[in-house]
Amino acid sequence: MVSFYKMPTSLDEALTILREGSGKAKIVAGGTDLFLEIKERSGPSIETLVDITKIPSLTTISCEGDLLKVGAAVTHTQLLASPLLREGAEALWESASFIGSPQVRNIGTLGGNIVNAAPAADTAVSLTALDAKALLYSSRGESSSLSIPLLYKDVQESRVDSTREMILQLEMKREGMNEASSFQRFSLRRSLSLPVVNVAVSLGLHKGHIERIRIVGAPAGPSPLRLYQTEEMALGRQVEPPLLDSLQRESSKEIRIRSSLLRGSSSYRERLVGVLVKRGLLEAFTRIRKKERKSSLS
Amino acid sequence: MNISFEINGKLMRVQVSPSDFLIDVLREKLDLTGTKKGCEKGECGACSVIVDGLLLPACILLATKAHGTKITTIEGLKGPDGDLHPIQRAFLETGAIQCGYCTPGMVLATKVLLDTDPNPTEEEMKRAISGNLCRCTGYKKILAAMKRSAVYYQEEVDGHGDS
Repeated sequence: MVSFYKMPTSLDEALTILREGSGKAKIVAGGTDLFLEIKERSGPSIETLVDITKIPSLTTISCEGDLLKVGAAVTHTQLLASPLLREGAEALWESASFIGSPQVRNIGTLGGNIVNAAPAADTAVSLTALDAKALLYSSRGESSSLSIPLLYKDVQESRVDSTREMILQLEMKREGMNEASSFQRFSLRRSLSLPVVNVAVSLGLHKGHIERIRIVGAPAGPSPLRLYQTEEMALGRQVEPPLLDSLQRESSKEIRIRSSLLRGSSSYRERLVGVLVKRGLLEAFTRIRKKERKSSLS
Repeated sequence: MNISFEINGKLMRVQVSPSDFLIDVLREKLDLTGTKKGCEKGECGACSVIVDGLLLPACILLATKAHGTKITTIEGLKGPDGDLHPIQRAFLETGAIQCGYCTPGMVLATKVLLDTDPNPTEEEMKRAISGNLCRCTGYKKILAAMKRSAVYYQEEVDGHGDS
């Protein structure tokens, strides 16, 4: 039974409430998932909810040097309105547009989407491809920085214990000249639908050759899955149709997805991943080319 | 606990418990039953209200979160003489209503869209109601109503320009 709802305006205040709650106070942001659990009484008993959406440092998007910092309580709507992210973290920007509905995007937050720990959470998939780190802070003052897959404990279970710690922000390198990313998704409807599969890719070229690549697919286990074998195959190569075809085949073979009555058979979904990987790489490559053209014109 | 917000232009103070949802406060405590309860999961959009200019699902929003905000519900759209809002007129005239359960949400979603962009494309209109389900009309007439609403908005803007 929730007896108290606190809306602290500073991080210190929030952490103090959390500490004094000793396990019975819990961090909440948009609450689109947590409030439902409360409604259905399916979650553990919580006495105090600590709403972090009024803490200014957690609701801002900034760039320091070439490091993008997105506050954990930034809503998906805010994220989509940010030119900084649209240009510097394309896959993240695209993935946010698929979350829930406009209504849900207006209150749901990036940090909340991550802590909710859905295996194919769209932003978790793109953040993994962008090699983002989550900056965690505990009520005892310990801080740590973890990559997205490490935040998952099990299916729909986060390693982040919101009764004693919270994500402060997500950090990722801003995409430069020879870098781009793309998020791809297949679902039965365009809005308010879970993905059949989703894929994010991030590409870095050097003199026309693939210098860095990250390919991520889901849902294939508790957390977004990097397809290392497929990545390995691409390194050092030029982006050309035969390569894209073999990466499509390789990624379909590498990923293992279970059959679902709602979301299709295992073989169908695995083939889809290959198709989306190819589309994503082509899109990322095209984006790099566009950047090159733009800079040669200016 | 006591919370206060401005609802349909009036400042209100209500006593709520920390686990009360906004939809219940609106319907049960303030008698604003125009806001509908549908899925109660934030998926169908029937409970949509405008909070500080944003369309939000009142069924999964704790009332406490709305403290200090400005809320518009469907009841807040009628004019001072009780006349219908242009969007409401457009919905009536195009027959965009069958059972009517989704209509308050659809009308408010249209309002948010037109308040930010009085001249949206059809794609933007579809996107604006992508969180609002209608199980009767197949959306065609709703889109027609949205287009007519945009015309009324435009006329209003032009009308103000003349005076």
